[in-house]
Amino acid sequence: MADYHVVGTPVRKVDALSLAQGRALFTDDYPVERPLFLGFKTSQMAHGHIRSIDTSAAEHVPGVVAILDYRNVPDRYFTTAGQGFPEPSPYDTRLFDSVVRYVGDPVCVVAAESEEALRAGLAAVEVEIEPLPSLFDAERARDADAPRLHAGDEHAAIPVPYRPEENLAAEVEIGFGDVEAGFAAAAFTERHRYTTHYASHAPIEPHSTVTWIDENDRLVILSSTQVPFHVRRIVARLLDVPVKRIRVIKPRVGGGFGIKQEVILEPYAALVTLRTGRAARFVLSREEVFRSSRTRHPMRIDLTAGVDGEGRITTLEMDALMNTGAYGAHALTVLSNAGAKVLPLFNKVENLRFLGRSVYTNLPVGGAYRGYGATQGYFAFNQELDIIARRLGVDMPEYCKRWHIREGETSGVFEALGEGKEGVAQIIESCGLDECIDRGAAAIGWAEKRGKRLAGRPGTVRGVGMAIAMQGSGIPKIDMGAASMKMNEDGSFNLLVGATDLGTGSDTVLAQIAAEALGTSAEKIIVLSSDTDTTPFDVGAYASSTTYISGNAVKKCALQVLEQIRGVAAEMLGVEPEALVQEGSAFVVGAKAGATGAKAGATDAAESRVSFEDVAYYSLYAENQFQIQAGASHISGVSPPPFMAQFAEVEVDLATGQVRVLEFVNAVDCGVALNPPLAEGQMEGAALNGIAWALTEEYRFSDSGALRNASFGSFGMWNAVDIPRMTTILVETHEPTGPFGAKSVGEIGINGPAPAIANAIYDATGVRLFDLPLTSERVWRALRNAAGGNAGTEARG
Amino acid sequence: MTGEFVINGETRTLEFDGADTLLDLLRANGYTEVKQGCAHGECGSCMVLLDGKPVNSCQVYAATATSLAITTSRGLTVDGSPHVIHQAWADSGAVQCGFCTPGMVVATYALLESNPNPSDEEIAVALSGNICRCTGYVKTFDAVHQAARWIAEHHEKGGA
Amino acid sequence: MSGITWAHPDTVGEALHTLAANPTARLHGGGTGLLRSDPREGLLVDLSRAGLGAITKEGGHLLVGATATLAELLERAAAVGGETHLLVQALRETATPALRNRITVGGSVAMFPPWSGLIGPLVALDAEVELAGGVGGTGDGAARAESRRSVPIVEYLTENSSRRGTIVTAVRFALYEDARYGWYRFVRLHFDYASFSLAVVLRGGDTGSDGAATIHDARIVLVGTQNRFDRLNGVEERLSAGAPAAVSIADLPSAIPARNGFSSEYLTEVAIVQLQRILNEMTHDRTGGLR
Repeated sequence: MADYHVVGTPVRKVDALSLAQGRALFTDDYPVERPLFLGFKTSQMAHGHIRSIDTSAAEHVPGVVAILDYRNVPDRYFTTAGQGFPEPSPYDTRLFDSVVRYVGDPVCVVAAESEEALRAGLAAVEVEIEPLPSLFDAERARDADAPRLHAGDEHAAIPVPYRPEENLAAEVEIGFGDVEAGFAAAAFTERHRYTTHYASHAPIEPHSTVTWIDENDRLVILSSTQVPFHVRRIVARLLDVPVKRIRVIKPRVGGGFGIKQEVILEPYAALVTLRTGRAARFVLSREEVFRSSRTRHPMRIDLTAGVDGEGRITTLEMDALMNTGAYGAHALTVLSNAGAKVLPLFNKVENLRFLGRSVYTNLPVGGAYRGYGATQGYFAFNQELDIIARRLGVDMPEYCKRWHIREGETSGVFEALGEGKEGVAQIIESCGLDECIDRGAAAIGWAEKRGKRLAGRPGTVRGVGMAIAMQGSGIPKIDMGAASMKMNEDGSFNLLVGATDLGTGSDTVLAQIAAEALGTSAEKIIVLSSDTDTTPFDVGAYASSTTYISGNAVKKCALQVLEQIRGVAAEMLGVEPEALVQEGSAFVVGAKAGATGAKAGATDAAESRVSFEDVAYYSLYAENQFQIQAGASHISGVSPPPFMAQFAEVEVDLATGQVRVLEFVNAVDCGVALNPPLAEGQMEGAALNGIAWALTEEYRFSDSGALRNASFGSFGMWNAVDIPRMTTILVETHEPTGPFGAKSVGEIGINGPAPAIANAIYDATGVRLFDLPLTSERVWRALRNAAGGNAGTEARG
Repeated sequence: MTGEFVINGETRTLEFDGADTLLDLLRANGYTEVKQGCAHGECGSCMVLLDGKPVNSCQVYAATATSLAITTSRGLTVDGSPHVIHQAWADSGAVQCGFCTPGMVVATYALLESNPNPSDEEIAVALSGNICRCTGYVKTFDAVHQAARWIAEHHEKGGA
Repeated sequence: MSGITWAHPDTVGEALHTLAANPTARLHGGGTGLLRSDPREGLLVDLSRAGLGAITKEGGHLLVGATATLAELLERAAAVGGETHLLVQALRETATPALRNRITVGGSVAMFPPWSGLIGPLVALDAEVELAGGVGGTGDGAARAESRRSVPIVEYLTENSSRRGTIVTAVRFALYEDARYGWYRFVRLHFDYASFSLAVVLRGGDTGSDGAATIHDARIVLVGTQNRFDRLNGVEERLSAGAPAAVSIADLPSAIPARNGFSSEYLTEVAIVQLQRILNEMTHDRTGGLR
């Protein structure tokens, strides 16, 4: 670390000041000429066949310009999932369908001259829907008599299991060894069923898209997206427009967390623009974001562990049922991740089976949500570890330290379980989990608090719990990021990356990487990102890929540029390039310089040193002129996991079940933290999201499948008054395959809070909850059941 | 209908619809730093000062805001330069996606005007109407404390 | 273009006149209530400039103008009643600072949402609602403006006849010298829609030689029940008689319905537990005994 001069330092985010003032522009802030305002009319019914849509009245509403419904849009199947091509998610979605499959399913789009006309137009559209039997229970989705949700030409784009006749959107089964024999031989087994629930990513900026035709008759899509290149491709294929005619630009984005790794609004806006020639503006209301965009997939996980006399988990079986909602975006990959990111963590397992199924229901659609299946899997896994450790009489931190995967080790799961393709074997090359566990435990006061059931306020008892996790850094052999750079006269550089900054700070971190590689300062790097015309390809912001994959591309590119600078400097100084020594943003002739040509024998200091600026001017104007520039791409054969331990201290009110989180500790190994405050910020935001998901955030549905609490206030988000004391510890390791030793850190922090809190509740009360969210009523009921119905009596008169 | 609005010290005669909120009016007239996150008064990203008091502009009818002093985050700049609150926010790592930030800045300004040296608890209450999904609010507190320190220093040096 | 038009009367009389001429017009205090229903046509009568914003101390009472905001009431109540005053406890937890700068006292009283943090305390304080208009069928605005009357808040909340055609002009409640206050609302988070709330006023004399205080007037209000709100008379009587304040489900005139994802059984149980805690704390004397 002592050798780095830019990475590892708290460089201020390049756009922080502009954002603070409110000068930076988000999608809906851009001035657009006479846009049409677009809005959805959505289904009020969970499952039904559209008998008729009558738009005649709506068409006559003054200001209504266009109406799209299933009768006048392309009817090809696609997936909205923002993934590489061919997507592993089933092609089961159409722009509009004649069947509606959940309350909130879009039925038509109205485009109007004003918001008022749009409102009136939407109200005037008459839709008659004939109800079909609804399916809300994922456990029943594959029953022979269950209503079938997808009965047309839906299909999988790659050869993976897809059986819509069974409402099966995805299926994964992998294994090695012999689990039956393993369980039979085990000293004991623990088998438990865990369930996790729906949630919204709830970024503060709703989905927003603006489209227009530019002066060269090209379609421009300005969108709050995590996946600008996937948007371009998917819109092109869906609307039969050549890729070359489309430009996608991502401006500032107000948070994504996965909800915008999806192509939801762009095709409709584009279609309206193409048909009318007018700009189109489509911004979802908050209610629509909750109801009609994407969510975290609920899962039911049956986890069985067989443990030998030594305490080693020898046999592990995870049987997962995932509710993908009405459409299958990410149905295969989130499901796979519940196993792929969780099961390798305890790699001394000899017998393993992972069976997962995603099923359709007439409920909101699951998507890519930070953690991406690992979050659900870790809720189960970490409680299982707590149960096993307790049964063995071993302290959980020690139990974890003894058995987790270590540097130099691998797991059969890496190879067996990929994301639609086969998995990729890998060996762990950096792992600081032990230090995470030790430092995190010390920070929370584990030894002083664990098992002590210390009293808090009257009627309460306190406990501590922990959780560990690994994630990944990009999808191996699939994710690709690229960068290009050019040099300017003043020694500054334009860095063009496809990588998508959602507020995560990737523009800044990538600038730091470039600056470090070049030997200059971050202020000399001007970043332009996420414009499909000007920046090279990048899969986008997901799978914790940006720092690791895109960062490596930037580093490669910068090193190539540096070589060119060195070459020009050598020409200027009349020496061989190898004779030069770099000193920051300058090159000097080394002590053993071999001189050639006209400048041979030069001893004048002025002729033995050139700055980057000197080089730039020379290269652009003086001799053998060329633009110093380069481009590079990166894919990875591995996905080195960050590791993390999280600790929670809770206070449980024994009479009411209310749980307060008093303190929370994050300890994470993300390799070298290229920008420590940004890495901390990722952990802090993810952790609070996880805490809120564990305790208060939830989707409440009516009997007819309608979401009842589609607002920030009723959903259960935490604000500044609710938060616990939070500490974040960055444990440094060095990942040899990462740019300057870095791994990614964007997702992992959301995986631990739910199980850590559940484990802490157990520590405090002796009661374990297997189902999320851990509402106060559920805790209360569990306490009552445990006490035989007498819980809470001590609080009475 | 038209009305006279005093926005960031500038009096403007603006057209609006009777059903418009102050948020609608501001965004339609170039004040895009005032964001729409929910339009229900629950997230605070539309927060402005109305006669010095923080309000959710989506919860104010434009028709009732004429002749009242309206201040947005951009209005806090001093001679075109960022206010120290902007700098403190930018410096503290409290800005991730930035969508909640203009509202947070406005709430911070109102807090520090009446309470130049707030405790963590007082900061939490003052910002309790501004939801942030990115930061977990941890560096948010650092930003406010930093702003308070810089404002105090500025006053010590004889600034206004 | 929406069909919304505005009137900005300068006086209550003018407002009444406008209402009389436009029976379907709606009143605007701070706007937060109206925006919930988001009307797209009709006349909105803005009371924010009609001189109803003042908060005045009149002898032993606080007279709160209808367009005074919750923030202004909170500030004033803290100044005259201290941090433990019931309204201060309740309003500090109601909405958010920015919303409190817009929600008006009159609007809150007229709307009475089940999660209101204002209504329980006002009922417990035996507040009076001052109204203008509505009484009698004819007469011009000026005459109606003169026909101000005061109704107990419970009557205002429960009798529709007292609301029709009226404008709330003020709310009035006594500032007690001898009261202790208790407040609780059931929420998951600080900014949340309360499933129920409890407001307690215990008025007592000097403490006796054993350190325990006597109670001569007890008011316990549970907001959010099936009846919208209930006074727990049984408990109140027991407290005033000096008996122990043990609370049971029999003391609730009506149950708390299931809401916000919580069952009726759970909410009712928690209400009893929390009320018991409040009463224990409030009646606990220095020697540790209960009266």
